[in-house]
Amino acid sequence: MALLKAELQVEALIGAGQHAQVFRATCPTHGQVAVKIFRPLPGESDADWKHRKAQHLKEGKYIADAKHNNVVQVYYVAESDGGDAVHIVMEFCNGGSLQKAFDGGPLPLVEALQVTREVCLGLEALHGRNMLHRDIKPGNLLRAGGRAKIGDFGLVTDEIILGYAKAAGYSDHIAYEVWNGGGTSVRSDIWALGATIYRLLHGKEWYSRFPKFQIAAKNGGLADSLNWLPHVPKEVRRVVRKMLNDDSRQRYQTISQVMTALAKLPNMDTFACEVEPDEVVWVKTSKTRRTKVVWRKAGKTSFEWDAWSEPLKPGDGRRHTLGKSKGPVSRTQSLKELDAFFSSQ
Amino acid sequence: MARWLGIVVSGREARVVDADVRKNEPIEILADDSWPLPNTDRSEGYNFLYQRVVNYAREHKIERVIVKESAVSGRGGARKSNLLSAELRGVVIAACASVCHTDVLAKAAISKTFGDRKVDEYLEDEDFWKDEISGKALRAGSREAAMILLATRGKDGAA
Repeated sequence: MALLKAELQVEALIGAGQHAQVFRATCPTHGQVAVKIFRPLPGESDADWKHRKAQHLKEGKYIADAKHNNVVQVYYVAESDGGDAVHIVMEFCNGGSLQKAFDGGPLPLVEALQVTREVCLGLEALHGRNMLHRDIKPGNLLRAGGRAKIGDFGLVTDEIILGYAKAAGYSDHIAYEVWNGGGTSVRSDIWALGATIYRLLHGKEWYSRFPKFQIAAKNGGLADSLNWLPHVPKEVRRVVRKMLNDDSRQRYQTISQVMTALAKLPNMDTFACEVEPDEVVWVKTSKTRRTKVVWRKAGKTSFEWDAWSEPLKPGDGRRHTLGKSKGPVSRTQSLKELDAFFSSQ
Repeated sequence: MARWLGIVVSGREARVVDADVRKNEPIEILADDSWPLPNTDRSEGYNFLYQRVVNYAREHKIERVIVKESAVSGRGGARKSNLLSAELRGVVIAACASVCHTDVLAKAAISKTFGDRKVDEYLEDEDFWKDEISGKALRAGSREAAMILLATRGKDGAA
C-alpha cells in the first residue's frame, strides 16, 4: 500500500487513547471518515518515534488488507508532511462504540448475542489471515449500519510464531496464560471475547462490583468466580465460562467453535435489565401484561426481591405475585432464589 | 489439486466437508464441521449463516462447492420442517455461489455417475472410505457430504 500525503479536513475529536487521538474528518475521496492520529509522545526520542511510526504504518497495512463486513475498514495510511504524525484513515462508524452501551447497563441478551456473532465473523476473518487482535473489548467494537465491527487495531499483529505473539491487551481482558508469561494466540482472543460478552451482559455498574476480575484472571479461577446477573441463562454462562477457562486447551480452540456454540443456544426471550446502585429491575412485556422483578438492598448486607405480573393498562386485570423473598435475606441466598426464578420463566 | 466443499443441509444445520480433491488419489479431508442455524429470529439466523459460509469459503480460498439437492419426500408430501430445511439450503447455495463455482447435486445423480452400487451402500462400506479418503477424521454422518465430492470428481475431474 502506498503511503499517501492526505488532504484531510480534521473535525471533532471522537476518542482518545494512550497513544493516539481519533477525530471525525472529511476526506476528498471517502467523505466522512475517522482518522486516528499518532504523534510523538512527550519525552519520546526521535529514534523511538521513528520506530513507532514505522510500526503504525505497518499496522495500517495489515488492517487495510483485512477487508471484511465486520471489521472497520482502513482506507489508507498517511504520514503527515513534516513526518510528525501518522494518520490511519478509516470508515466512520456512526453508531459509536459498545463502550457506551456497556456504560449504560446490561445489554439485552438477544442483542449481546447478535453483536457477538457479528464480532465472531470479523475475528474469524482476522485469524484466517494469521492476525490476532489482542485487544477485544467493548470500546473496540463499533457499530455502523446496524452491524457490529471490530475496530482499533493498535495491537493487531501478524507476527505470530507457532500461533503465539507477544503479550498485549486491555488488562481486564488479558488471558490467564498471558498474565503468566505465555504469548497471545487465537485462544487469548477467545478469552478476551468471553470477557467482552460477560461485560456487555452485565453493564458497568454491575461489573464494577466485581473488582477482583483482573486478579482472578491473573491468579486463575475467573470462570468459576464470575458474579452473574440472575437472568443470564445457564447455557450462556456455560459458553462464556468455557471461553474464560484458565487452561487454554479447554477453551474453544477456534472462533468457528465459538460460533457453533452460540448457534446452539436455545432461543431466549429474556428480561430487560437495569442496574442501579441499590436496586436491579427486570421487565418483560407481552401484548397485554408486564412482568417485573425487583431486587433491592434491604439492609447493610441483606437483600429482598419481589416478582409480579400486572396488566399494561390499569384495570385490564389483576396484579399476580410470581415470587418473593421471605423478608430480607443474604445476598447469596437472594441471588440463588432469583436464579431459580428466572430459570423457571 | 483443488480445494472443494461438500455440503449437506439437513434439519437446522449444514454439514460441511472441506477437502483437497485430486484425480486418482484419495481426497484429503481438511475439515469436517457442522454449522447450525442460530436459534434466533429466522431472517437474522439465515443472514448469519450466509455470512459464515461466505467467510469460510472466502478465507479458505475454496474453489468449488457442491451442495446436495433438496429431495422430494417419499410419502405424504413435504412437511414444514422439510420446507424450512429447503429454505436454509437455498441460503447456503446462494452464499457459496457468491464466492465460487457452486453446483447442486441430486442423490440420484450420484448413483448414475459414480460406481455401480447405490449411494447408501457406499455410505455404509467402511473399506470404501478407508480407500477413498485421507487426512482428518471424517464422521460417519458426514460421509454423504464427502460422497458428493467424490461423485463430482468422478464426473468432472479435479484441478
